[in-house]
Amino acid sequence: MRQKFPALLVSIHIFMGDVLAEVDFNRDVRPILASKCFACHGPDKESREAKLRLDDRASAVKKEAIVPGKLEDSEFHYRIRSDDPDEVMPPPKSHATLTAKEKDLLDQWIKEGAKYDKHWAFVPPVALAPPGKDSKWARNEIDSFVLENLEKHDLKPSPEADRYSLIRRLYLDLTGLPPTPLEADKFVNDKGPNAYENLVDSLLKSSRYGEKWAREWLDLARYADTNGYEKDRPRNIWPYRDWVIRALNADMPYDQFTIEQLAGDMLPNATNDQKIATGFHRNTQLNEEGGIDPLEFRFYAAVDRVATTGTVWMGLTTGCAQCHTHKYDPITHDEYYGLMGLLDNVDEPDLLLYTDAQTKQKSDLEKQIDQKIKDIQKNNPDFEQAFATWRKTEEPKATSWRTLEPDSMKTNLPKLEVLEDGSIFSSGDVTKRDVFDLNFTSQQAITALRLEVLPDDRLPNRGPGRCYYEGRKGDFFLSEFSVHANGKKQEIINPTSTFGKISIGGGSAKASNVTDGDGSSGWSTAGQQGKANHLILPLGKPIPANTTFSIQMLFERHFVVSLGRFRISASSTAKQPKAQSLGVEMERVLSLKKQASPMDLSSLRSLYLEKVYLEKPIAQNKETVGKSTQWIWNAKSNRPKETLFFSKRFELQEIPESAEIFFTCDDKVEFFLNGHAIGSTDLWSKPVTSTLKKHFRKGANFLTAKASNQAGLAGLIAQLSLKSKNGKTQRVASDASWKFVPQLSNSKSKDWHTRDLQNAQPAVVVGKYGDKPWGSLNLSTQGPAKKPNTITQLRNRLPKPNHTLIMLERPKDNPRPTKLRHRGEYTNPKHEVPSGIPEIFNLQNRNEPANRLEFARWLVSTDNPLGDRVTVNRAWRSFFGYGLIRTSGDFGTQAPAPDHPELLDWLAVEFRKNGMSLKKLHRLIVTSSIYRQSSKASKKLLDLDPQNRLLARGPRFRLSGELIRDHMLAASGKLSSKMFGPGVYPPQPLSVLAHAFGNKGWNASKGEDRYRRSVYTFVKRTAPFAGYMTFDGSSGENCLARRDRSNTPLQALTLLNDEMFLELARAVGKEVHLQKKDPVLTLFRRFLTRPPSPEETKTLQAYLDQQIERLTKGELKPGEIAADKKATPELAGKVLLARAIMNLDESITKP
Amino acid sequence: MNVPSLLHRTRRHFFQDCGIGVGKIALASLLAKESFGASGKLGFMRFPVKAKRVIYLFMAGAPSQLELFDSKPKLKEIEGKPIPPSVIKGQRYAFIQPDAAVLGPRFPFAKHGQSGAVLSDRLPHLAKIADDMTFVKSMHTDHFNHAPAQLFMTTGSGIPGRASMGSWLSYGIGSEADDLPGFVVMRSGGNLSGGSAMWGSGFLPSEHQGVPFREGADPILHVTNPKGIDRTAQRQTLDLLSKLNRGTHQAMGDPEVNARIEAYEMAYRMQARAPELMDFSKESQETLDLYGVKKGKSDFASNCLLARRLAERGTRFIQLYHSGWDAHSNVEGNVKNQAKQVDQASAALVQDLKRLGMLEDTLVVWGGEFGRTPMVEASAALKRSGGRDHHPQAFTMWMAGGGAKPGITLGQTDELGFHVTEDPVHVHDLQATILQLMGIDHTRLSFRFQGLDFRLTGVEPHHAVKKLIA
Repeated sequence: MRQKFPALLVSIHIFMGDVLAEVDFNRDVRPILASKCFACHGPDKESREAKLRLDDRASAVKKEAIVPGKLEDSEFHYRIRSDDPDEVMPPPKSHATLTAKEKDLLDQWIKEGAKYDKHWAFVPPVALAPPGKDSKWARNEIDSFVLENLEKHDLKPSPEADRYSLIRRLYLDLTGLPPTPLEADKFVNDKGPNAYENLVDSLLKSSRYGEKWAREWLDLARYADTNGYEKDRPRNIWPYRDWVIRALNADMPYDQFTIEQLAGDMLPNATNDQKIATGFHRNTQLNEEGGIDPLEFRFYAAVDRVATTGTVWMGLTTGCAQCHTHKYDPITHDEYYGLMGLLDNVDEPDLLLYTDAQTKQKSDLEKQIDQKIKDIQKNNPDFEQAFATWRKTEEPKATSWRTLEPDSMKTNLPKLEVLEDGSIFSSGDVTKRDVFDLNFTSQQAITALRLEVLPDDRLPNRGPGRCYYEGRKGDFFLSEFSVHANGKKQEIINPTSTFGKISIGGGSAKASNVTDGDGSSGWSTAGQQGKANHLILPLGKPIPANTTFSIQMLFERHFVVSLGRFRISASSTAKQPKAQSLGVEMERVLSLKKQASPMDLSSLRSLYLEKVYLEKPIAQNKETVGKSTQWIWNAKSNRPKETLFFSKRFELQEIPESAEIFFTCDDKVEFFLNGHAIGSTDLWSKPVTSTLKKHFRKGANFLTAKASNQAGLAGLIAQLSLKSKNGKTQRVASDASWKFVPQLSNSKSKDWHTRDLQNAQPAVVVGKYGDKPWGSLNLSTQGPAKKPNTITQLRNRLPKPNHTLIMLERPKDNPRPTKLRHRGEYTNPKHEVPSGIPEIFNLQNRNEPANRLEFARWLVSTDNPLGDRVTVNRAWRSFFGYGLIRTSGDFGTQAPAPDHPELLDWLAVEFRKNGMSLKKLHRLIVTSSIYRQSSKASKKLLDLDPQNRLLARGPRFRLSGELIRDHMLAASGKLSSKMFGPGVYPPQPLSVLAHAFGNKGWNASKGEDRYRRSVYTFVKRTAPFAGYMTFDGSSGENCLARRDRSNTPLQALTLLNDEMFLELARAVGKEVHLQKKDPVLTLFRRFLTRPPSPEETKTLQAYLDQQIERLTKGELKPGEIAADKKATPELAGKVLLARAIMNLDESITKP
Repeated sequence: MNVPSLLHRTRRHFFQDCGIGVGKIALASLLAKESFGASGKLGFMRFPVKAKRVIYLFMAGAPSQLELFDSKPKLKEIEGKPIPPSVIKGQRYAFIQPDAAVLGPRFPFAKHGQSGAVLSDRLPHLAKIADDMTFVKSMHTDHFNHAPAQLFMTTGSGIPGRASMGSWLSYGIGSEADDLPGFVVMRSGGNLSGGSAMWGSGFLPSEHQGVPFREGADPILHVTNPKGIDRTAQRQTLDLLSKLNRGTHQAMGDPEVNARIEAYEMAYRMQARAPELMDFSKESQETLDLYGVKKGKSDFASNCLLARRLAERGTRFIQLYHSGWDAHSNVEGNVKNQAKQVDQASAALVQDLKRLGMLEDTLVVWGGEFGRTPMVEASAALKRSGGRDHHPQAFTMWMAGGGAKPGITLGQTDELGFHVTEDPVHVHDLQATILQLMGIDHTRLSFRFQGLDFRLTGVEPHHAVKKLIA
């Protein structure tokens, strides 16, 4: 069996200058054929020349290109050696010329019989017995494999690293944090035979282990907290990140870990946790740009899922086969889409998450509400009378409705189904233009129709719409609603709605928009996600009984706006009904009149109590908007994408007794009084009216606003009414006396209204209050915030569930077909492709996985020869800096051969034997002697083996950006141990966000959250945290199997000058100073673990003295350096010392 | 900042021969890198080097070619009528319906210079340098949304995460500056859709990513010392670090330690260089007026001047993004306003480079991510009127200097400005042309990543446009 990798260590042999005795296909021939011949004579039918395949022996022999053993009869031999430019292969224009050495090799191969071998990676790993080395040095099998090879090269392993290095290495590798000096000393002084192993075991048990390894897994999962692309808005998927940390800490077996992430939703009785795990493939990017084709970007996400699955579990690059048959790896164009089919039969909903505490809280509150309703009825003797009176007046007004169930339904794409309550639910794919076509027959004549839009937990933001990008999640936009009967369009007159508002762009949302024939206007209930509303559509002429009629609903905007759940009802009333703001349930019971059951009445009582009885109207004491209050901007024309800063100065003789402000802006505005935020609105039709108490001062006051407009006409309007003690009213209204600046001199400043005033220009009046297009704003409903009634108060306390993004297998009756895309282009679909695993995997009896779950199980089964190898290789890379195969994501035929193939296979088999426990795998690696070697690189070793592929020394590498920060946090004593939850915001310069779309700034966390482990840092794809990116961090755009380890001046600037690190230097410098500790020794050991040498101590002490001297002389200011006015030169000197030590190479390096 | 490129890594003497100009210092440890392009040994330098550096003025949001460069009187004639269905067949749009009515050009056009280049009256400054410019009226792209199209233009792919043009150049031929970044990004105007992925390095080593210049005192992140730390303290700290790190190197033998010492020294030089770079006080009033730079104001004009100063100091690729061209409503107002912000400084940059003798080896590129529809965009819900939607089928870009053939106009569109009818130039063709002007064969500058050979211009065949090269 050892022949499988003849001559061992392919690449090492080459650089060690060995000569090859016998040609080996996998090692010597395939790489040449793959890079120089397969493009035209390989698996890809489309680009195959002369119908010749060189990747397939039978085919090459049949065509007599290669005649095994007979060089003279082989056309191949002549072609590669021809002088004729028309004959020679590869052709000169391909620039793939063969070297003389390669030609000799190929000839030798033919002479030796032109043997083809299957690529090693597709042969299942077999664990060979490790070489039985009689060595005290070898602690486990890993050592035996490596030692044998070292001996072949006349090398010896390096001596064991010193104890300080060992503990620091172990801590950093297993937990990502440095040991404290105390922990280090304890280990160094522990002479027990199992001191090392005990340390390993305790670190594997630490919660910090999961945090460290999760960050590495999240690179593969391309985890981020935003959607990517232009808008890059936040998304909620941190429960997935937390799931990873928990799973790793619990040492969840890797097969289970895999299956739950790829197909947790399909497991029997899937738990919430298993569903959360499917967030793995929801980490794809989502383009929210207006006007995109959502299905095109869904396709790109599917492409990403195939590529990521290939990289993480198959060690295969599938990307090539997206566009054409893979030139090198044996995956055909069709097989690629077969893989996509396995992953792509999914819907992508949000999962609402109630914690156990929330569930209990919810049920407790609901009980309380029920009780309270009963109590109020009981305790208010007038209630029954009031209810009866109310019912008497309302009953005659109530319309009777009956739910219509469609005879048939048709849509452009989504799947509609009728639910038990007669409502209709939409699932499946949605587009920018969805059309629902419903057919009904009513036994009664119909005079009016009612469309209820209904919430549902399965919809984005609980619905009622299916908008999931660009607009408000859960929104819908009904462009047109039309009714046809007897082949004629039926007239709809005076439609009404319970509520109407449009998000994005604003504009009217009145009910009649759905019948105006203009697709760009419509009805929507933006801001009422998770709530029901309805639309009443009275018909001009009744539809006679027993007539078949149809309803068409058009949902069209520049983003997805389909309805998710709705119900159609009909009435035969002679009156023209109107939308009922109190809701359909009250009207239903009222319309039953005497037929209402006791249960109906009880429900009506409760509703009445909450919505009418407790809602006593309060006296409106509102200031009206004065005539002199005007809409202002910088010009009176279309002002697309503009942001302006307005300012108005006014004088106050005294602090007002009361004050009220009214303002709004097309499209949005934030208002400030003397620099203090006092309110904002993002919709002109939603003005703010509120009372002000604070922030006034005698003398000059400034009312300021940051206002912006999306498109079209822009305007800002505001009126501040001030009442003094003697009852006089003073008004400050928007008019031409207001000033504006288009940009602030310092975006961070709060006092720009005074600072930038000299550059401000006078505002331009766009119109007066009441003018078109805004008209008189409806202020009557906007009274000063009224205290909600007691029931509403309780309802407001109902817990708000979290949510996370998950995968959900599509229902059996609505599968998504997968089509081959010519050249990988979404717009170029061809034939439908059956799901399945590529042929090369040679499935036992072609036992083809039929779906995502079976695919996931297959990936972690022994039928996948690559899965275990990829996993152990990845672990190896984490510890040693390089994988046993260097291209961590690629085991294909183009990848270089592994450095230690037998070790790789042994580890793979051992991993499975140990129940696919990652912790056991990690333990195995770190308890080897190989791992414990000193990382000192002698001149000889550096020359011979610069990348340490022979493993004759220990690993020494710079930490990742995240671990550098974690290390500094821990060493400076500021690290928070708080785990889990939404992403947090460590401090970074605001300018990092300046290039991000719609720059929302970076509100640095305060308190504990500022100092949490980096795995919890909010990941914004288009403006990733600069402190990590400078050190080759991941922005979560692609699955990242291997991070770079660059070494740049920008890294130096970050470590030296970033406030984030300076803050830590100050903290630890101050601590050392206050506790009167030896600064050099303490700080050195905090950051480097080991004690300094006398020489180092001397150098550092000299630096400290030098700085203190300058500080004392006043050349440097202690207060500035320590950010503390009272700081002494000694304290500030220690801050500088800490800062210097943090910048040492050893501080950011695993020893 | 100078990071090791393929050129450094292999045959240092090569540059003297090919004339691209090379960085003075390279980080020793990084000379030995894992990945090389499939092309391996500089096989990509196959053409005469005409441009040593690029200043790319990216007009983000997509300017209306029909209001600036591509004069279509026919649109005026049929304004208000829909375009024949045969023309618009099968096209996808972002916002409008295909049956939207035609909108006539909002501005008059005239011929300029010896070359007779046609420009609208919104570009009076560029009109003066028409004979230095190379127009391409036949650009077309694969994407019709901003972020993907901007990414496509800058990285050759519509999906975030690929290597950007600047990072390819940094990787391939490095920078001439050893105290400033080789690939700098600046921004003005409104929001930018493509985001940081547009200057990312993708699969290329991450040191090749673009360095965004920030507004304010710290143009390069953390280039300014923290408050209270003066240059002496910084120097003394560096001396300490250098001394102790040398000790570490002696003890461990790790070459990365020496690289770190070098990186810190380079950082220190950068700290000295940055303020000098940003200081416009040595520029004459005439120069400031030429660009229209206003004191203390950071905008497109000051970015253009800064770009010239970076070019002088050896930066290889300077990309200026100016956003705000996305005229879904009121294209007339948009073009009026935007052109006012960029016309003068764009022209000034070309003139200034010319008088400094730098235009011949500095390539200036100007353009957006796609064009705008001949049809009008209007929407009640969005309160839009008189706008134009995204149009990937045809748009105009221009270049100047750096070996681009001056005074020519390449390509034509049909009478409606809808489709290209002559000399179509795909985005990948333009990218191939830019690379060729820098001496690079775009088919050979590639990088092996996860088993594939990636290149800026993708896998489908595309070609540098010979007609554009002087």
